[in-house]
Order: sequence, then C-alpha cells, then structure tokens
Amino acid sequence: MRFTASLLNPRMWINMRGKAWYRFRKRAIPDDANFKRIIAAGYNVVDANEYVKPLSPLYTDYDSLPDLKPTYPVPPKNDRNNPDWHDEICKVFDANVFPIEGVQQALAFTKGVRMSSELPGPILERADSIKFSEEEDKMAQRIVQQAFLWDSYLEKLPIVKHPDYPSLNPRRVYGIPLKRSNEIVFKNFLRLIESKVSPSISLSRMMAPEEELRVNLERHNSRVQFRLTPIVNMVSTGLLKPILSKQEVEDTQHLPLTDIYPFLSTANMEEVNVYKEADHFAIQPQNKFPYIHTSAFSHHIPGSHIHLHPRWNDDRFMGATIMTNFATALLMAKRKYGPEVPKILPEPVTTQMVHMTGKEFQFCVLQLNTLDLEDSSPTSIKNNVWITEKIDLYSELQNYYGKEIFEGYNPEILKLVAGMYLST
Amino acid sequence: MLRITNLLRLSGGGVGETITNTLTKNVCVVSWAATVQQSVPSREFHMSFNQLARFKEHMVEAPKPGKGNYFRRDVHYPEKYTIKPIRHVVVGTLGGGIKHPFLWVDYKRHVPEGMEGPLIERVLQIVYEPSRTAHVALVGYADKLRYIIATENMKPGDIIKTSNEITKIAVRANEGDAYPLGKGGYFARAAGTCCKILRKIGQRVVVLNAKKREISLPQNCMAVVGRVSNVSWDTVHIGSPNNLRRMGYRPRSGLWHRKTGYHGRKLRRPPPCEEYVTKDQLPKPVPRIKLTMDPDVTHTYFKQFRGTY
Repeated sequence: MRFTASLLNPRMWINMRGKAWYRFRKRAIPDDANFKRIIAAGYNVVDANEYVKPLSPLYTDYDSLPDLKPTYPVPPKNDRNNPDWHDEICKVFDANVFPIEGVQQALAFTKGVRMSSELPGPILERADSIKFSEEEDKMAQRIVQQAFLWDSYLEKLPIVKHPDYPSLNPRRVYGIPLKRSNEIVFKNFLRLIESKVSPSISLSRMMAPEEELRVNLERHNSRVQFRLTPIVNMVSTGLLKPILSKQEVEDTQHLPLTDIYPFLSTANMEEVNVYKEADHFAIQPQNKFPYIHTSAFSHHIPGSHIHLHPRWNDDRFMGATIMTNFATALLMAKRKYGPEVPKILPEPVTTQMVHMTGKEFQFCVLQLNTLDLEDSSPTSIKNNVWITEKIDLYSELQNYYGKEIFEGYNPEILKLVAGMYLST
Repeated sequence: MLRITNLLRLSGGGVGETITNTLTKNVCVVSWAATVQQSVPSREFHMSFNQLARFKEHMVEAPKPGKGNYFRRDVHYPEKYTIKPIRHVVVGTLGGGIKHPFLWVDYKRHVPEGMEGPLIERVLQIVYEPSRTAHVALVGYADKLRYIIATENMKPGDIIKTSNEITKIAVRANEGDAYPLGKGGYFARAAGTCCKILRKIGQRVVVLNAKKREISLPQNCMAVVGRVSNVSWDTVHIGSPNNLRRMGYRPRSGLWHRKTGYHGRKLRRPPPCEEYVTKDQLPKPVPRIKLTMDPDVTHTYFKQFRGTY
C-alpha cells in the first residue's frame, strides 16, 4: 500500500478511507487470459517494470533525471560585474521620472520658449478642414468603448493605493491594462483618418514597432540619457518642415529664458552606473521611412502600485511631455546631421507628440533650432514649443454593476490627431 | 521665547562669535558642523570625478538602530541616499506591523565641503510622515533633493540658508536658516520642541535642552532657527483605543500603579551642565610601548652572564 499524503489527511471522511485505499493501492499487472492468447499467437511479453521505474514519493534519484536548464540565460545584475558598468554616473530620464519644477524646469533644460497654449495655426487649419460624418463619429465612439469596456484581453491589474492609507491592500481586479487601451484608441483613430486621406500621404507613413529609444546628451557637465518607450511611432519618408521661418525664429530671440534657481535642470533624475553609451532607435537610417513624424506615449508605469504617483501634478506632467518631445527631436537631428550636430542647425527639426493617460490627452509640437543649451545669454536663439493643456476624451466611462456608462465624448481630439497626421 | 542680548555682555574671546539679533525666536538645535574628519560615513559611497571637481558629495549617514524612533524597527537602508520610501519592519511581530512609507531624513544641516559661501535651498513640499511626530520638508538645491525636519512656519516656496561662518557681526536670522552652534539631529526632533541658547563661555555655548537640561557645546555646531513643526500634536484627541495601538502603546488598565518606576517619589535637583566634545578634543589614547626582543638574542644575552652570577 503506497504511502500518500491524501490518506494522512485528517479532514478526509471515514467513509472515504476505504475508497482511497482502493484508489491508491499498488497495482500489479493482472494475469488475465489475454496474455495467454498473446503468447499463444507468438508475441513476446515482457515485464514493464524492467523499462519504467515508478517514482517513489519517499526518495527521488535526482542524478538520473535530466538537467532542466533554462533555455534563456539569466540577465546580469546591476553590479560592478555587469559588462555595461561605468564608473561615471549617468542621469537617466525615464517614464518614472518627472521634472520637479514642472514646465519651468523642462523649458530651462531644452532652452525653450512656450509660444502658446494651443497648437500652431497650420495644424489647427488642417484639423478644421477634415469633416467626419455621423457614422464615422459613431465609429470613433465605438473605438473608445472597445478600448476601455469591450476588449476581451484581461489581466490582473496593479493595486490602486490610497496614499493616506498605505497598509490597505484592496483585492486586485481583472481588467484591461491601461497601455493596451491607449494603443487601441490611438491606432484605430489613425486607421479611421487614413481611410479619409489620399494615398499619396498615407503611403508615405508607417507605424514603427514599440521599442525603447535611447538618446544621449551632455548637460551641466554630466551625461544625460533618455530612455523612452512609445506606444506608436509614426514614421515617414521625410522630415517635417519647420513651422516658423528663419525671420520668425529671430523675432523670438528676445523672449526671456526661465531661471529655476537654486535648482539645476537635471534635478530629480535617476543616477545610474549601468548604461549603454550609444543611441538606439529601432528603425535603421537605410530604411525607406527613417524619420519620426509623430510619436504617442502612454503614461503607464508597469509593475507599480499606482499609475499616477501623487507627486505627478499637471505642471510636472506637462514638463515630462516637453522632455520626451525634445528627445525625439534630438534623435532626428542626430540622424540628419550625424553624431556631431552643429550648435545652430542649418534647418530646424520639428517633431510632434501625443501624451495619453487614457482619459486625458496632451498634444505637443517642438521645433529644434539650436543645441547650444549651455549658453544662457538673453539674445541667443531658442527652441519653440507649442503645448496644450490636458484635454478629456470623455467625462464618464465605466462598467457600473453591469451597466455601461459612457458620457461626454469629445470629438475635438480626433480632429487634432487628424491635423497632426496631415502635416508634412 | 529666546533672549540672546546677554551674549554681548558675557562674551569673552572676541574672535569668532555668532550673535543672533532675534529676540522672540526659538532655536531648535539640529546638526554637527561638517568637517571631513567628523563626518565618517557608515557605508562606502561612490564619488564621481565630475562631482569631485566641483565639491565633495553631500554624504548622508544612516542612523544607528535601536534607539528612540528606531526601537524595534529593522530598516533596510540602501547604499545611496534616496527620496523614495524605504521598507521597514517591526521586529518581533507576526506580519511586520503597520508598514508606513518610511522616509530617510537628513538630520545634518551643513555645507558640503568645497562650497564657498552659504548653501541656499528651496522648500518644495511639507510631507506628513507617520513614523515620527514632526513634519518633514522636501528640500533641494542643484541636482540634490533631501528631506529635513520642518520648522513651524515653513511652507513650500521658502528659501533656506545654511552657513558655516562664525562672524563678528550679528546676523538677522530668518526661520528655517541654520548657523553654527549645536549638536545635530539629536536634541530637538520631536514635534513642537525647541532649545534655548543661554550663555557663551569662551569657545563653548550653553544651551537649554528640550527637556530643560543644560548642555555645553562647541561653537562650530549648527543650529536651526525656529520651532519644530506640528506643534499641536500634543493636543490631538486620541479618539479610540485602536489609535493608541497604532501609536505603539500596549493596552493598560488606566489606574496608577505605585511600583512601575514612573513619577518617582523623590524630587532631585537637575544634574549639572553636560559637556559635549568633538572627536578631536577627546583624550587620545596613550600609545602602549611594548618591549620585544628576539628569542635568539635573549638566549645569547643571558648565556653571556650565566657564568658570572
């Protein structure tokens, strides 16, 4: 009789004991009449125990078992033994990092000047020129509902903790992760717009894969690295044309630079010894579509208990969008002019950006005129930034005890995305 | 209330006196002055070449466990100073106790080495920290952010100054600033406490403790002007027995027990002034001289005289 834990279970009923005994008994091969028939027919019958050893629960011979090595190697730790260890510290701007002084710090870092609280005129004109019919408006609303309510992909979501009660751990809920819903909204909006646009424009664009960007820079005598993962990178054959002409850029020279004394513009960045020195972008320069047109970033922090830390306020969120847009513009400048970019660019580089938190959208356009960021003289050339406030996509969207509530859909966002899509 | 005008009359040696001209301000004594010899870090810190070129990194020591607020708490301090909350566990319980986000507070208000002139910082936020009675202020300058104990009237946007100089001329001190005098992060950290400067004798200053005991300190120590924050902590109504458990008190009967050791029977006069001394001023241990000789030498040495005795 085999020695099993189920029989020693004290919770088992007395009536079941006999049945369990019968179930877990040691069974031998029965001497049936069938074996005699097989032998009579001329086949060789052999005892199975010679070929198969039954595993005993008391003892396992680990030496005879095969080696279960992982098929992938274990990643190295962030120690001195790491091949990417450097003694010199590098400051990293990540999805977890926010500028502590908000917009002021981002403008001081990028040597930028905020032009207006709306997108530039040409983009708004193109946004008004596109008109969506009623059916297309309904499709847009269905896209939003699909992303947040109807999608069949479910995952155990991280806990949303109340900052005042840190020891309270509510039950983890199954739902659609925020990153996925942001992807669905933006990609399907682009597909809607593509159907209305002529093929000459739509065939010059491509959606790039989701991979980490890395850009390096020197600021305040220390190395700064941007590490960002967009949801969607729309890539095109040619760079965007600058929004302001040279004369208009010179007119903005007199505008004042921001001062955040006693802080430096690299405050609150993570300091790291393990980093790779080279820039990285998924698409190679030999590709047909080498230049970034617009990029969409979603504000989700994987593996964290709170999606939005309480220190992320609107001001700091806006600063983070400016910094990410600057990173994409820097990448494109390095792609066009090589690794050593001239201090004043002969032709300015512009990039567009969308920053999403699911409900709220923020649009940003940056024109990079100079990379001479250390020069803080009042009459130097500056970079131009157009950034909007947070715009809500809806006012209420949730599954409330089986009822779907969807109110306050804002069609302005689809228009602005279309306006950005059409810019050349 | 503080009155420091007496210092002008009693002061002896003229070189290097700080005299504050504030009549109605309290002082909370907060940190040692910084010299590299004194601030010995408990763990090895990494200093980069770029930062050495400017000035040495502002090292923050991890405090030692087992006393005061750290009673029964096992805190896992990382290697480097961080703003992020640290995990801590109450030792000797099942489950580890209530897990507050424990913040690593820098108790030392000193100027980093190599920096000329006063250190100017800005207050960003006042943070409620449940593992201490006082409030904590997030403060920063240049690249560095840190937490310090907040004074009573600190608010976000204030500018704070810490200076290392001992000047002859009086200094008009604003609340929250730190000037030399006092031992640090040690005497007044609890909510609403403050110390009082009494008199000056040569190169030492006598200060009245938060517990009303006199202590004499070297003049290089740093003091912060103001009273520690959260003054009305004493007056908060407890509300329920659960709240007392959260504060750390075990259940009790409420009656007065004679033999517990509290509220002693005898009234004693307060002890005399306690002197605190820096490591330089400690008596150096007398080096021991050991007379050693090689065993071969002793053999020959005594063998020479064996016959003569």
